[in-house]
This record gives sequence, C-alpha cells and structure tokens, in this order.
Amino acid sequence: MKEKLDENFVKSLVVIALGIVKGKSDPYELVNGAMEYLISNKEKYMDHPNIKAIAVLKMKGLFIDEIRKNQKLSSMTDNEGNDLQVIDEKQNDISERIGLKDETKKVLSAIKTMGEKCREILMLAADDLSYKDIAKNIETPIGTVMSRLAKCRKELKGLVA
Amino acid sequence: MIDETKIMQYADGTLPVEEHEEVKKAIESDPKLKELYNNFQKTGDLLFKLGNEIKSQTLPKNLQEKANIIKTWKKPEAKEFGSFNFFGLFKIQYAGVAAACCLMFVAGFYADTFISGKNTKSGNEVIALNQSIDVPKDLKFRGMPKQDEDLSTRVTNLYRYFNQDQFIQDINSTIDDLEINEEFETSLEDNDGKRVKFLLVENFNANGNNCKKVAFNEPLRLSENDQGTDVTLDICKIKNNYEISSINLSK
Repeated sequence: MKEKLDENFVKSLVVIALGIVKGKSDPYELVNGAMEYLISNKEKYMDHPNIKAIAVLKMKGLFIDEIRKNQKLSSMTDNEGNDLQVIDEKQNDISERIGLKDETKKVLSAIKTMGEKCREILMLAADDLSYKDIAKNIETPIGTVMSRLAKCRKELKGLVA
Repeated sequence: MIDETKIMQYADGTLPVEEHEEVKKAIESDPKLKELYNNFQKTGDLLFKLGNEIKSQTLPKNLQEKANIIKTWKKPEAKEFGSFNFFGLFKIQYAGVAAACCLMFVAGFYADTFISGKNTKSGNEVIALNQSIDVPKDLKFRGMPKQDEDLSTRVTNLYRYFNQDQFIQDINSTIDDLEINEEFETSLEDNDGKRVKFLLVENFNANGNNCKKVAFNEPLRLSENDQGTDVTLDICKIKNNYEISSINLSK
C-alpha cells in the first residue's frame, strides 16, 4: 500500500528515527536529511510503492555517516597535540525536547538503552506498522520480525516494570 | 506448539482466527503464558501511546516545510467523491458527538460508553449507550491527531451518514461467511441512493472475542476540506451479536 505523503508521513519518520539514533544524535536531523534526499530525487521516488522503507534506509545511512564523522573528529588533535573536544550542541535529552509525558518518556528512555535491533523494531512498532510492514521496512523475514519483536517487548517490559 | 510469538499475535489481535481457541486455552491453563499475554498487551499499549504522543507534536519548521513540499507531489488517488460528499451538512444535533469524538481522538481514548448519532422517526438525535460489553477497555477509538483538520466536521458528517444500527442488523447474519478482502453491501445508501460497499479487511481477536475490521471501500469526503478519509470499523462478537467497538478515521 502506498504511503500518503503528508506531515503524518514525516511524523512517522520521526518515530522511526528515534529508534535509529543513539546517544546525543538528533532524530530530526536524520528525518531532515532523508526528506532532503527524497525531495531531490522526486522523480525516482514519488511513485515508489514503499517510500518509507527508502527513507528509513537513508536515515540509517545518515546515522552511520554521523558516527564515522564523530569518530574521525574524536581522533583528531590540535596543533599542540591535544585531543579536539567536539562541541555537541545537542546535549539535551530528545524526549525533553519533544515534550513527552512521564510515562512515555520512561518508555522511550528504556528503549534507548536497548540494542540497535530492539530500538529499531520497537520504534517501528510504535509507528503502528504491521509485522508485515515492519518486515518490508527493514528487509527482514516476517518470522524474524515477530520473534525479535516478542523478545524486545519482553525486554522492554522488564525495563519499564 | 504455543510459542511466545503466538501469544504476542493473540495479544495484538493478529493471530489467525483458526488458532484462537488453542492459544486461548493455553493462556487460561498456564499462568506463565497468561502473564506473558498481559505483558504483551501492556507493551503494545505503551508503544502505541509512545508513537501517538510523538506524532502529536508539532514538526520543526524545516520539516513542516518539507512535508508541505511532498504533499504537493500527488493528490490522493482518483476518488469518486460524488457519492460520498457530505460536507455542508452540519447539524447542531451532532455537535455533541463531534466534541466527544474529538476528545477521544486527542486522548487515545478507551471507551466503555459508546456515543453515536441515531436517526429516528422524529429526527436525528445523539445517543450514549452504556453497553455491557466485556471487552471495551481494550478496544480503541483510534485516529491520527492532526492540527490542521476539521475533524469535528468530519466526525459529525460521518455519523450523519452512517446508521450503525442498520449496519449491524445487516451484517450480523452474513459477515461470518465472508472471506478477507471480500466486498459486500448493506442496505445503507449514500445521498444518491447508491448502495455503500464495504470490504472485510481482517479478522482479529480482542480479549478472546472474535473481531473483524471492515473498511468503507473508498475514501469518504466528510468535509469541505477533506480530500478523502479512509474509514474502518472494528466490530466484535459479543454475546452472539456483533457490536461496533471502534471507528477509525485516517487520511
């Protein structure tokens, strides 16, 4: 089923981006990057049957790029041989910036402590995608999606209990 | 074999109907499975709330601008609006329904009172039914929160158009025989006197009750600004009769 392209599509990407980013990375920047990519490749993607999967893939790529960039910066030194301090302006917890309620903030914080695969699949589930759509978005067999989701939800329950 | 994915599917309402009985019995007879089932229900709700809360936030300006750009890419696919054009039909009798439904939409509401518009011989009226449904806590009235839409008008016009009593009466004896993706008609007619068609989308389980998701077979234009709303109905069998448990509107 084709996605309807509107602000809800972008909001969906924000939910999913929260499962991709880690630490101080900004999910909005990932979404912005993915949207720029889609817009600049309009002819290629405007009729794509699963444009959300394209955006998710792009966001993952952007996140990896960001990690590489940060690693590179952290290995650099100044003229006197001192490690460069990377100034991170995104210190604020993203759940504070988004303005979540306490209960959901706790859930998001718990998800952020989990491994990459769990973060990803739980936020795709939070986007209210079916198992089948989750499988399409992360190019994983549906059986794997279900067993991973079950495992991650059990872990999440333990964390928020 | 009952593994945890089956329990999760059952809790999520996605387990195939033919497997319900086996899983239900296993849950009832094994406290560990019962706990697992409860936990899956809980995490399902938590994730749903999390997603909705994030989506209810206003987008930063740069993302909103991009959303506006992609919105212009393509209008919703060819829709036969003529049959389902109900804008401009607002009646004050429905204001209560609209207000109540808006609250439901914003809050992700779990209802134990069903509020509805009803056509009677003396005119249209708003009714609130305190139904003794066994499962209402887990049945949801879902809708995507949007700040720019004329939701109250859309809800109002939907109720003006949709006679739930007639719908339930029509489908009660036939819906169990339908296959997934099968189209069917009821005696409901649109403004042009054309029979409204529905589609059986899926079978699912809610707290052990057999439920079905039914969709209007084409988007409805429910207000002047509405470019097409997909409307689905969740109906659950309670005491041998189907009842509407939730109405879902999405664009």
